[in-house]
Amino acid sequence: MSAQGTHTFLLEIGCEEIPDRMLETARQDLAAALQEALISQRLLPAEVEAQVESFATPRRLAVRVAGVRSRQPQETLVITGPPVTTAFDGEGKPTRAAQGFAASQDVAVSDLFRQAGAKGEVVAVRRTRRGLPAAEVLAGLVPGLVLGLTFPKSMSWGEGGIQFVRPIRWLVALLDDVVVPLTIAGVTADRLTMSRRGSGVGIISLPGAMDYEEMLAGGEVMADPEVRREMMKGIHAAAARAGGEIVADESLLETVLNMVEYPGCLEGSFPDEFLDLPVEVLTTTLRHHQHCFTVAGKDGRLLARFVAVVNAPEDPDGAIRAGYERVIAGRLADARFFYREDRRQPLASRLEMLERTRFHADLGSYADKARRMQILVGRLADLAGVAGEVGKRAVQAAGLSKCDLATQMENEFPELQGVVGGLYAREEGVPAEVWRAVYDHYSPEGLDDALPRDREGILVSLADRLDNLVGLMGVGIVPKGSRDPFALRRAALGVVRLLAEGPLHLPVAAALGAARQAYGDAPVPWKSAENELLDQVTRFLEGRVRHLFEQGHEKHRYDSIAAVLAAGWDDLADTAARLRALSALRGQSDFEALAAASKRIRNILSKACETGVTIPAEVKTELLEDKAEKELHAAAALVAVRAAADAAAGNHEAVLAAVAALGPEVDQFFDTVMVMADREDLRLNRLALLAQVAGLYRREADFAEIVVEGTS
Amino acid sequence: MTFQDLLLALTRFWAERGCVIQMPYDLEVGAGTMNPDTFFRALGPEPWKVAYCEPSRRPVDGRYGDNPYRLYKHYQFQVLVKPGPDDIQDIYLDSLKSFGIDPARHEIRFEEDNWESPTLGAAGVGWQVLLDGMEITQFTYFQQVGGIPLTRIPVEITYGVERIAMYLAGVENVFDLPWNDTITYGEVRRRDEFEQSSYAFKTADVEFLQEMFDRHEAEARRTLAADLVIPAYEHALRCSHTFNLLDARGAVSVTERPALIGRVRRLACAMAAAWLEQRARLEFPLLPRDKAREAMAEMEARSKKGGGKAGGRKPS
Repeated sequence: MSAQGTHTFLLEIGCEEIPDRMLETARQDLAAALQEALISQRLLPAEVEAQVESFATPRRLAVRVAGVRSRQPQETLVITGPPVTTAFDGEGKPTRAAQGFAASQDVAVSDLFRQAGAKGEVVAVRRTRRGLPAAEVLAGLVPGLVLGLTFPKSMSWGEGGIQFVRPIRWLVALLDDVVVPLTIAGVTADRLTMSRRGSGVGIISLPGAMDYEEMLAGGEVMADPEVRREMMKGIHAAAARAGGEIVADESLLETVLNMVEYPGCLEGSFPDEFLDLPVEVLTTTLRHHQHCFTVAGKDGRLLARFVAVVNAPEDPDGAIRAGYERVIAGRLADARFFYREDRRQPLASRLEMLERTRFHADLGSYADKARRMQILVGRLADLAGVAGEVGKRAVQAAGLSKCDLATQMENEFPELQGVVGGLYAREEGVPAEVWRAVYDHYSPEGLDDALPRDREGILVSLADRLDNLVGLMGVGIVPKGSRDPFALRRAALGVVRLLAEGPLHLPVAAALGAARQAYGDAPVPWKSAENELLDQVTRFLEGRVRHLFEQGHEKHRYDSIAAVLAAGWDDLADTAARLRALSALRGQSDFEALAAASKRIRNILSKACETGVTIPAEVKTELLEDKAEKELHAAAALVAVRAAADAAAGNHEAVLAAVAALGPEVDQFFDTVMVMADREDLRLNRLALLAQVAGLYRREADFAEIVVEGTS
Repeated sequence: MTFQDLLLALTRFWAERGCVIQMPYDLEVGAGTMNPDTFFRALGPEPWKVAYCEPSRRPVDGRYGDNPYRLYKHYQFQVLVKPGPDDIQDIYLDSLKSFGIDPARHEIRFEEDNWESPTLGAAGVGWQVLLDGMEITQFTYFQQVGGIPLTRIPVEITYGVERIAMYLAGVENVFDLPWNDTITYGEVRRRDEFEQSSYAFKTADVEFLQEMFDRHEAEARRTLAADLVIPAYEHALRCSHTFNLLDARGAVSVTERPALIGRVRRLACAMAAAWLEQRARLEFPLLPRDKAREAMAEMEARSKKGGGKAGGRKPS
């Protein structure tokens, strides 16, 4: 027991091997759930920051909480009963309702008091509840909390009936040095935990909650992932022993960290002859398939070496190293066999095999798709103004792009689709932009990975995705909730990123139209008319545009996005630039005034329209009477000229600044000019002037969409 | 240690742990799971322990006996224990010692690998077991078989025996593997690999196979209607193998594939439900009487609730 009379609670759930991808989340979830439950059960003070430590290895999830009270503090509860009107009769005597309530609470009627309730006064009784001892609360609390954890995939075992990520095989529950009697899934808690498999230690008895890490370390288990991370720095020494340096791979590090209880770093080698394989194939085999790190020399080229992080402190007979070496050599021999076999046949000739590979039942084969992509790439190149050499090379790449689907290498390494085709095309000596376009055309896949390197690759990638979107949505495939089997959301996000972040200015509507045109008169069972389909795809894309701008690395505010989109998004590169300018301006002082003025003008104009007024297109200078309206007109004309020039130069911040600078003139106008003048010609002329200003406001973004804090 | 020694060691190990030692099924199967001693016995509340070596045919993996690792037919050593005992992983690790692998001197890893068989309407959760980086076993807790969610959970352990034997013998080509002290795997099986691959890829008559698929399917349904579950299931197995041959022959288009697999799955699911009903009618003879009565009452309650056949249907 600590000085403040509090205790330390340790919970360990011993499992069969938990999948590495789920471990970190499970560790955090368990710690958070326990802390929250202890606070809500008043075993932890809510106001003090709790001392919670959590641990995880493939075979265990554990959490330790300090500062747990011996028992729940005593609590006073007010229990309400029937309304006063039914509890007492006309003479103020208690009725049977009052007597019944008092009896049910085991108090005398005289102990009842009155209290205001939601529907009038009620009778109530005050009772004190003694707190329960911590062990008793924990025994009731923990099982539900543990079994309430959620995982991407759970399972049943043994006699069934219970779901957890993997079978629970032992439990440790200690309050300081005392076992808390609790049972989960038929397993009763004790102080006994397990060492690493193969350590020869076996069962470990824990004297107390604070002995956890040290006792486990004696059994070759490093329960704290951060300790394992530190130990895994040994991969660098291993690489140095192998004569090189680790090729950094953070995600592999995380994976391996969660696969071992005790990380041992060992280096191994494979025959030099496999270095002839493309680096992509070597890397995929070693890192993805075998979870080993690759090792590079000073010049950055891969060495015929690897570093494995194994679940053992040492390799007494060299058997582990020999096993890894053997498996890696076998896999690389396989890959080399495919690499040699595949290259006996030119890549382009595989198009014929793709005639028999179905893209989709309603949309033909992959050969059909490749032909459509060639047509579409040509059209997109025209639209982007790069029809010459770039366009020609992109069309060639589109024709080759799907050919690797018919190679053995791609079948063995599906994660290298595109890459395999690109490598084979390079071997065949096609221009660099062509093979790189094939290589890159599945990029981008997410919110922040790289776009294809060249404009050719961007065109092919766009064509691939637009063809998917228009074709698949055209035959009625629409993502719903978590169901998106053809990854259309990813395809749409890809289109948006290629256009918003890439070097090509391509009008969205025309690009979609071209994608539909590329299907020509192919016998596709279209579910909707062409313009309807294009509208549908456009709306779908708009959703991804918002997603990119909100969730991408720039993270704009939703109302800024709405404002910019309201001013059009057919040229997404331009839209993105306007949005960046707007977000940059938002912090500045005249910005809110701009938004307010914009709203005010919009309201006046829309009211005028509602009453059937036709606002003239031109302002008649001879009808400008007031000084303020003359000045506004002059300033607006000046800003219009400057804005046009700045926008053409892509300087959207300057455009916005110029528009914002109209503020004083607009304010002065509203202060001194009566828009709704009695004379109709004056009135119409003033509305025309406001419409002109509104046009300026809307050229970059519809400021009326901006939500100004503190107003509504 | 030879290939044969390995099979004997595993057989003895699991026999000593109370398994029925079965012989391989005498029909073509793609995996040991399809053997009725696994497929059916995984269902229902009755306990079951079985071990056998199953020759497993995967026509698309045929390589004419030219590839050092890939085979038209390989062997699986299959164990099914229902319900899996609490120490099943330890028992498994002990089984490695039976052929000379001491887990303390190697790295044994259990890496997530969930198993699913669309043709059997079956799915499980588990791992591939890696010995020094090499996959040697599939270890699976069945969750559903024949579309029926399981209540008593079997553990299926499938050893890839060629791979383990190659490792033990230190050979890099399966055909060099000593079958026993006098003859190699290649000498026993290579010609067979060549012929089966040739048949599957080149010679098989597509129309004949398509007709066989349809006829076995019809016969399976007819036989099942006569409440002869095992003979009916055998026709379903023949459908499955016929499908695999058609697939290797390149006669199954991408769109037809799910439809054909679906036809086999519907057969398998119907068989599973019928088998479970039959066991209930026999009053679950492998259970103690009181447990049997409980199980029957439970099944009845569930079938009333579900309104369908015993055991319910595959959720789709």
